[in-house]
Order: sequence, then C-alpha cells, then structure tokens
Amino acid sequence: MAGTGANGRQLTGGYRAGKTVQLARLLNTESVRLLDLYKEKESFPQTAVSGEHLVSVPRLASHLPAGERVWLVHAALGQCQGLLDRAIVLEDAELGLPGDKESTEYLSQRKVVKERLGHLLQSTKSLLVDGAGTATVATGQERAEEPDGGLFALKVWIYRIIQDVVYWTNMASENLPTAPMEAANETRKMARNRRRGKKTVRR
Amino acid sequence: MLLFNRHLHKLPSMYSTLLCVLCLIFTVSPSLCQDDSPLDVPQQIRLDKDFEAQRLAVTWHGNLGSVFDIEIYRTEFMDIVFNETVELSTGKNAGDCHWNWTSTVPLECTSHSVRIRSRDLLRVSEWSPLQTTEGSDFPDNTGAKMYPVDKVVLAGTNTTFCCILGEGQVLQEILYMKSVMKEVRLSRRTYAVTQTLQPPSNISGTNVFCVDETNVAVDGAVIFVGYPPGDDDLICETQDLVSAVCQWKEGRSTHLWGRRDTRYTLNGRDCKIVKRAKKCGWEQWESNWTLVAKNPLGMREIRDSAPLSQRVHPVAPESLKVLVRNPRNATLQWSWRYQGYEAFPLICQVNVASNGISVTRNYSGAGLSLVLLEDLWPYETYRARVRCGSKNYFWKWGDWSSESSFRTKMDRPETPDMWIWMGSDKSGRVLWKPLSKTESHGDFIRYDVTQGSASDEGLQRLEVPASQLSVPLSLQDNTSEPFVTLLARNSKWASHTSQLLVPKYLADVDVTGSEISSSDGGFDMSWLASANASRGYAVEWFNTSCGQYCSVDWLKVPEATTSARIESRGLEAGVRYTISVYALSDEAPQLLERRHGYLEEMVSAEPVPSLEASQYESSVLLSWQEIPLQSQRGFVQGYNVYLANISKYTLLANITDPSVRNYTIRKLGLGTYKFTVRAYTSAGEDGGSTVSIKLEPYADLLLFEILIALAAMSGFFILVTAVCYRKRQWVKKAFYPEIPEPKLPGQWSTSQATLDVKPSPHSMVHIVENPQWDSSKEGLVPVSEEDEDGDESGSEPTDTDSDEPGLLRYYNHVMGDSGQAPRLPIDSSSSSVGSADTDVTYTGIQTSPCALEVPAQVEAQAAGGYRPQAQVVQQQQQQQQPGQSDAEPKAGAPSPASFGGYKPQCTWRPDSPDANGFDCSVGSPTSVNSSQFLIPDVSSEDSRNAVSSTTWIPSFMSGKP
Repeated sequence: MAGTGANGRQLTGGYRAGKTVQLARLLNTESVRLLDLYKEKESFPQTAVSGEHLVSVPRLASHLPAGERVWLVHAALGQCQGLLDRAIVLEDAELGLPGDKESTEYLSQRKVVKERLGHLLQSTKSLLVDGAGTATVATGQERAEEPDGGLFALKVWIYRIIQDVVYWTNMASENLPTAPMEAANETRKMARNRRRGKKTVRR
Repeated sequence: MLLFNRHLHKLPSMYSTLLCVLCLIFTVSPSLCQDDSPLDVPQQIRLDKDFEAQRLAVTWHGNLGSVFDIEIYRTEFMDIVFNETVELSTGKNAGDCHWNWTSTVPLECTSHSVRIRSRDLLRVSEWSPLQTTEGSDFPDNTGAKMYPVDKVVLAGTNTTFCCILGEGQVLQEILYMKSVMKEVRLSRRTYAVTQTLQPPSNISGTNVFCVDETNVAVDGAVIFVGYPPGDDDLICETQDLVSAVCQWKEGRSTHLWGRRDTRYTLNGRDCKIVKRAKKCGWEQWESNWTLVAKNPLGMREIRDSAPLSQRVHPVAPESLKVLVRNPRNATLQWSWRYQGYEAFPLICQVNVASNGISVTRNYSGAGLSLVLLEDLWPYETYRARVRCGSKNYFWKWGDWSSESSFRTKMDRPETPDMWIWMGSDKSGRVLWKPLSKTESHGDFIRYDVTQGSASDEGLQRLEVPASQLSVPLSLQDNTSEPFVTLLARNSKWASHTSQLLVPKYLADVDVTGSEISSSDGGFDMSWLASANASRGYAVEWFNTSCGQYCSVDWLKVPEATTSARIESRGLEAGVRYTISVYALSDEAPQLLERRHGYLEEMVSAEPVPSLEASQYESSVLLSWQEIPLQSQRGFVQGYNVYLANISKYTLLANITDPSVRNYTIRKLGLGTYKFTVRAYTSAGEDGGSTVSIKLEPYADLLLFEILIALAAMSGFFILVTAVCYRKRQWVKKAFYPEIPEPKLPGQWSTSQATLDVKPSPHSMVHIVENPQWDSSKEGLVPVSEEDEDGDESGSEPTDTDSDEPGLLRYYNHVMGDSGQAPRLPIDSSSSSVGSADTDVTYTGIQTSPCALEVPAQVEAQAAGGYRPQAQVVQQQQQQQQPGQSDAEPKAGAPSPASFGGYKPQCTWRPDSPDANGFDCSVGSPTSVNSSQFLIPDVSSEDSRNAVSSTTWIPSFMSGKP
C-alpha cells in the first residue's frame, strides 16, 4: 500500500493501513447492524430523527492533506468511542438491562461494536505514528454532551451516537486506503522543503 | 341561613314553632327574607400545577359561602374544559378556598385559564377575572416538545399525549410506537392524542413520536406501562440458628425495569437484590417479618411470623469421615459449621450407594454427628452422604453433604452353588455357579474340588482357578456312593463346603419324558412333591442335542416349592432342552421328572435325510431317515408327502405319526415321478427332500401285454371270418361277382374250363416290331348277344343276373373252328392256336394300336408280319366282295361303329377322336388265344368294375386260376 520501495517503514505502514481499512469496513457493517437493531428495538420510525451529528469533527474534505485526514478520522472515532461508552452506561442505568431475546442480540452487537471500535482507534493511531509523528488526539470524552429532557431524548441521543459511529467508520474505510502513502509523500515533501530552505538561507 | 338554623335548637320550643311559620312565610315570599347585597367575587385566585399528577391546585379567597361555580378554559382557543359548581368547606383561615382539578391532558401541553364565582341559594356573584397558567406552547418557548415525559401508568389505562410543535412546524402525524394516532388540536402549536387500554410496554418503554411535515420526528415521549408488584409467599428461615434469610416469590412481571423496577424493604430496611434473586438477609432472628415491595405503580406488603426453632434449615454436614470396623459395619462421622447444632435435636438421612444401588437410612439425635452403618456388604466400596433437618419441628431437609467413600473389609465367601451332571454311568461333570463380586467378599482366588466315595477313604483334591466353573467327573467301577465337595477361597477366607452325592445317570430312553411348552420366554416347570426332597429340589436343564461339554444350568428351590420358572438369557429358540427335576436329600439326588421343550418351535433346519424311492411293480416305496435332533428345532409332528409337479405340489399323504418313515404310493403308471417329503412342526413345514424315480415296465406286464395283443388279433380274425361268412353273399357280390362262363360254339361249350394248351415246340411266336401291324386286331371279332342268340338259336341261357354289361361277353375266335369264320391260311402264328397252346405275348401292338387304320392294315398285311387276327378281316373282306358294296357292312356282322356293348378295344375305332384313350390299355398283357387284353380299358365306364373284378378277385376268392 505504501509502495514497493526499499523503505521498510512504508511497507509496514501500508500493511497496517490495509488492515485498518479492513477493520473499518467490518466495523461499519457491524455498526449498521447495530443501528438496525436499535431502531427495531425502539420502534423508531424509518424517518430521520431531528438533530445533527454529535461528533464535533469537521467533515473530511478532499483537499485536506492525507495526514490530516487520518488525524481527523482518528479524532472522530475517538469521540465516537467516548460517546458510545457513555451511552451504554446511561442506557443500562435508565432503561435497565433487558432480558428478552431481541434485546440480547442488541446487547451482543453493542458489545461487539464497542470493542471493535477500540481496536480501530488503536489501528488509526498507529497510522498516525508512522505517517505524521506522535499523535495527540482528543478522546472525545470532554465532548460528550449528555441529553437533557427525558428518556426519549436519551434514546435519540443514543441513536445519534450509533449513527455517528456508522458515519465515521464509513469515512475511515473510504479515506484511509490512500492516506498513508500520501502522508509518506507529504512527509518527504516537507523534508525536501526544509532542505531547500536551509540552502536558501546559506545563499 | 346555616347560622340561622344553628340557633334554632337553642330557642324554647314554643318559639320555634312560631319562627318556623315565619320562615315559611319568608320562603313563600323570598323578597321578605333575601339579602339584597351582592356576593363577593372570589379574590386572590392562585393556580399551582403538579405536572406529574397533571393536577391543578386552585386557591382563592371568597365569601363565607361554600358553593362556587368554576370554569376552566384552554386559554388560546378558550375551549372550556371544566364548568361545574362545587361545594367547598373553608380552610383554616376563614374565606380561603382550595380546590384541585386533574386534567386528562398534561398541563404542559397548553395554557389554562380559570375563573370562579360564588353562589348561594338565591345569589350569584360576578365571575372573577381569568387566572391563566402558561403551558409550554407559550410563544417564548419556540422548540418542539412532547408530554408527558417518562410517565409510568398502569396497564389498561388511557393516556393523553400532546405534541407542541416548534414555531413554523406543521404536524404530519403522531405515532404510538408504530401506530398513527388521531390527533386533536389544543392550541396553535399543540396537538393531543389519546391511547386507550394501553398494553404493557417492553423493557425500554413505549415510544410516542411527533412527526412534522418534513417527516422528521421533532420530539417524542416515553411511557412505561406496567403493573404494581405482585410478590407473595414471604418465608424466613435460619441456617445458623441465629440469623434469618427471607425469601419470597415474585408475582407477575411488572414490565418495569431499571429505575422503575420494584424496590424491597424488609422490616423497613432496604433489601439489596442480587441478580433478581428474591432473597433478603437479616442478622438476627425476629419473630415478625414484613416485606414491602414498591414500584411507581403501587406497593405490596407481605408478612411472615414464626419462632426460630420452627424455621431451621440445617446447613450441610462437613468433614465426613468413615471408620470401617468389620466386613459389614462402618461408622460415619461429620461436623457442624455452627456451634448451635451441637445440642439441637436433628434427624439425619444417610445415603449409602454402591454399584448403582442406593440406600437411605434415617438417624436422629441431639447434635447428631455420628452414625453406625450396618448390613453392609463385605469388601465393597460405598459412597456416603448426609443431610439433616430439625427433629422437633421439621421444616425442611438441609443440603446434602459432600460424598465420602470407603471400603468394607473382606469376609468368608458365600457357599458356592454346586451341581453334578452325569453324561453316562461313569462320567459327568461337576459344575458350580460363579461367585459374584458381592458373593466372593474379597479378592477371589480359587475353588477347591474334592472327590471321594464311601468305599474309598482316599480323596482326590483339585484346585481350580476362579475362572473355571466345572471339572470333569469320572467314577471307578467299584465306587459306591461317590460324592464331591466344593469350597471357594478368597485371599483371606474360605467358604463353607458345598457337598453333593453323585446322582445316578438315567438316559432319556430310561425316562419317559413328556413335552413342555414355553410361556413368556421361559418354562414353567411344576412337579409333584416328593417325600425324599428333604433339602429341596434341583431343576436342571441343558441343550438336549449338546454333547459332553454343553452348558448345563440349574436352580435349586426349597422343599416347600414344587414349581419353578426357567428363564435364562441362555435359552434359545429352536433348541430342544431337557429339563429334569431332582429331589435333594442327604442321599444322591433322585430324578423325579424329565421333560423336553422348546423355548420357541421353529421349522426344521434341514429336510428329511436319505430320502429314497423304490419301485415295486406299480408302486413306489418312499423311505427316509429321522431328522437329526439338532436340526429339528421343534417337535416333529409328522410328514407330508407330495407329488411334485412342475408348478405345484400335490399332497399325497399326511403322516401324523412322526415315527413312521416310509410311505408307499400305489398304482402308478409308467413314467417319471418326483416325490417330496416334508417334516412339519408346530411352526410349519421344512424345505422338504425330493426324490425322483422312473417307473420301468416289469416282466408280468410285458407278458400280459403280448397275450392281450394275440387275443385281440385272434378275436379280430374270428370276427372278420364270422362276418364274412354271414355276409358271404354280399361279399361275393361285392368282391367276387359271378363271371359268366364263356360261351363257345361247338365243343367249346362243353368245356368251359380254361384251355390247357401246351404249346408246341414249333409254335413260337416271333414278335415283329412293326407298329403298322396292328391289324391283327382285326382277327378279334366282337360278338353281340343278338348275334349269339341268333347263332345259338337260344340253346344257351342268357346270364341275366349279371350286372356286367354285355360287352364283357366276348369270345375268342378260334380260327378254323366255325363255319362263320373263314379259315385263314395257316401261318406260323396260327399254328399255335391249332396246337391249342396258349402263349401270352406282349405284342408290338402296344406301341401304335390306336393309329391303326385300314390302309395301314393293308400295308401291314402286305408286309407279311405277324397277323394273328388278320384272317378275320380278310375273310370279311372276302365275304363282302361278291355282292356287297364296300360302303355297306354286312348285316349281322359287327362293325366298329355298331358296338353296343363290348368295346374292349374301343380305341380301335378308326374314327375315335381321342387317340389317347387307348393308352390306358397299352402294356396290358394280351392272351394270345383270347386275343383280348387281360386288363380292360379303364377308360370305359361300363366295363371298369367288371374288368377289375374279373382280373384278381376270382383268383383270390375262389382260387380259380
């Protein structure tokens, strides 16, 4: 993925990127399933629920550098993880632990998404280390605005969180494939510019 | 008015009557009693809202009167939702009034306005100004909202929801779960729906959605529908004799979870429920227990009361130990976790199990911790466990302790069950049944077998390994009262000795054995009681067809029993068993009865052997051998003899006596026969043996046939002869008609016998091969009867009986004998006639007689060949020459055209159109002296039969030449 050159570091990064993409695609599929189960459990109408994304990360624009796109994806996934953890706590506390079969499947899927989201987060973090140096990413915990206004608001909030997980895992699967290679090129370009700048100064 | 009435009872009765009258007057004329001053308008109206209860508390300050008219409106549309007159009591402070109104619609849904007026019997105050309480649809609140929020209601009740749209939003629908509800508009932005008879909700509640025209759920609400707690059956008990554990049963599901789940308190203290287990602990026993179960929909209180001693649920005994004292007893010990058990009266169950057998025994005592286990099997491994309960006030059994294993000590083996089976007078086998693990009472080692007799002091000892269950027995000739002893040994002990005198051998032939039927997979054997059976009876059975080493089984029954059921896994269907009953005593076993039986009869395994067929004259003797016993597989009841054809078997005989092994089939004709003999049991016939035999003719039959043939032929000839004799006339007519004697002129007539002419040596005929010369026929002149009559002048009688045509009556012309016939010159040929010798000549006329014509005759005559009859023609010609024309034949002289009867040489007719007609006479022998064919012309219809009869019949029937 990162090229076939003699740079073993790039090869490693490419391999990781590929694995990360596969993981993102898998998680996207599973989060879509989780959303369906939640809608079915709560009898949510097929229409959308009013409200915007909870994850406060700018949308990925094509003109953004690859490294920044990876960073944004990683940051968004971090927020998703924080929101999802909080949603699970609130849901269990407010609505109780369900015991019927339908909800058991929902709980199982919720657990799978939660764990796999952590793995994806780790994987994107490793890409950031390879491509753009040490990552400093907000976890998103501080962004978790808990709902106010009753259990319906809580349910909508959980619904939006799952929607955001679906959205950002999709973003990850679509933007990560080319990002590491581009990030590597960008790194080389920046190094080249630095060398040129030094020469200019000498002159 | 009320105050007025209060003082009435204080007045003296005399005045009260007067006042009543006055009051009636006032009533009739209200104007007289009415206070004209107006009622005060209620003041200081205050509205307090309880959103949870959807209750509006109204307080105001009014007159002393207690009746008010109250009206409540939805402010925006001024829809009146309440309009009634209420009677109130004043509050603590005079004039303060309180009244509550519960709305079906959440109070947040829209603003409500209230106005009140006072009323008494005759007066009504003015309405108070409207007092309004704002709803959430107040213009300042621009967002969408739905109410009630997170409400919990009882299942089956009705709930009204309202949706307050945001500014600018337009309602599309309100969904209760997925059902579209019919909404009612309450205000500009508020719509309400009512769900009736709500079913219990699921775990996370029932969602209600408010959807705007953009098909987006702008807001929603969650409602929890369920039931109050239904818990029951509180029971408290103790295990440590100090503390208490209370348990109860949960009723029907409340359908409420999470924060709305049921909370419990025991005697006023919260119970911490772990994993929904309905159990709550208490450190000290109390005589009364109260459990309160509470959820948002209600509360349930259940109680229990009992002294501690009656609610003891013992803990499981601990630290079990077993002390094994002897082969059949052991001591079981345990300890208690709590000190209180040391003196507590207990009843305990000890369960001891071994080899799948479990026995439970009860023991009791104060602080029971040791019991003696008795009646155990020696050298056996056991598992023991204990549980206990309160003895005085049994409540329930405690938990089982953990198991403890132990093994009892070894003991003397059981006395082996021995039997002696005699296969002959001097030999047999000593048999015994193996000792099971529970009978050996230790690690089993061997058997000791001893053989002895009363006459011989020496004993023969034999040690037999544990795996062996029999030893052969052989007796000496002079042995008297032989006996055998047997004992079993384990690694520590020897069993008691089993001794038996050798029974007398009795073969089947010596004992009348009857048959015994099986029932339900076994034999029910019964016998008559014997006085000699002081030690009971032994029933022995074995495979009858088995040899010396077959399996012998037996069972021993006590003296009082005279029946036994033989039911063994070793019994097989189709096997004959010999079952014998012996009386046991101090002497040798005595045979009482012997029977034979099959567990299940089957058809014979093989057909009758050695089937042979022998012919005895016209009979066939079938003989066969008995089916071997091991192949019978059932009692043979008889045999069926069949005649086997290609397609079927014809039953010839059913032999019901199984001892009969031959059968004779009589009166069979010659040929090949196949016979099949099948033995049958109660299960049916076997496959059968088939033999074939071809019956040959035997000597007597041959002779008889010859005699019969001879007799038949003789009879036939006799019959023919007799018939011919009786019908001789008919036969004669039919086969030998009278042939008229030739009528000859002169001396010919005197002798009609056949000419006996000896040919002269010189009358040899030389045959001339000249077909032209057939004119010799001309010498043969037919003579008509008329002519004969005329010539003979009736001197000779006419043969009128003859059916033969007259043409047969022809005569040979004897040349020179009659004056009618001119004598011809004698030549070589005519000389034979003159010599009276007849010489048959196969003439050359055979070749071309039919082509004979007059010119040819003349020509032939001129040729000078053989012309035996030429003279006749010549003579006729000579007679015609003097006075007659050639065209007219002489009257009376035969002419070819005038042949009325005799036409032996019809082909001679020159005008015969059919020249072939003569061919049939060609080759016929011709008598020289008769000048005619011996075999006539078959073409002539008239002469056909006559010719045949004249040729061979006479010579055959009459013997005439």
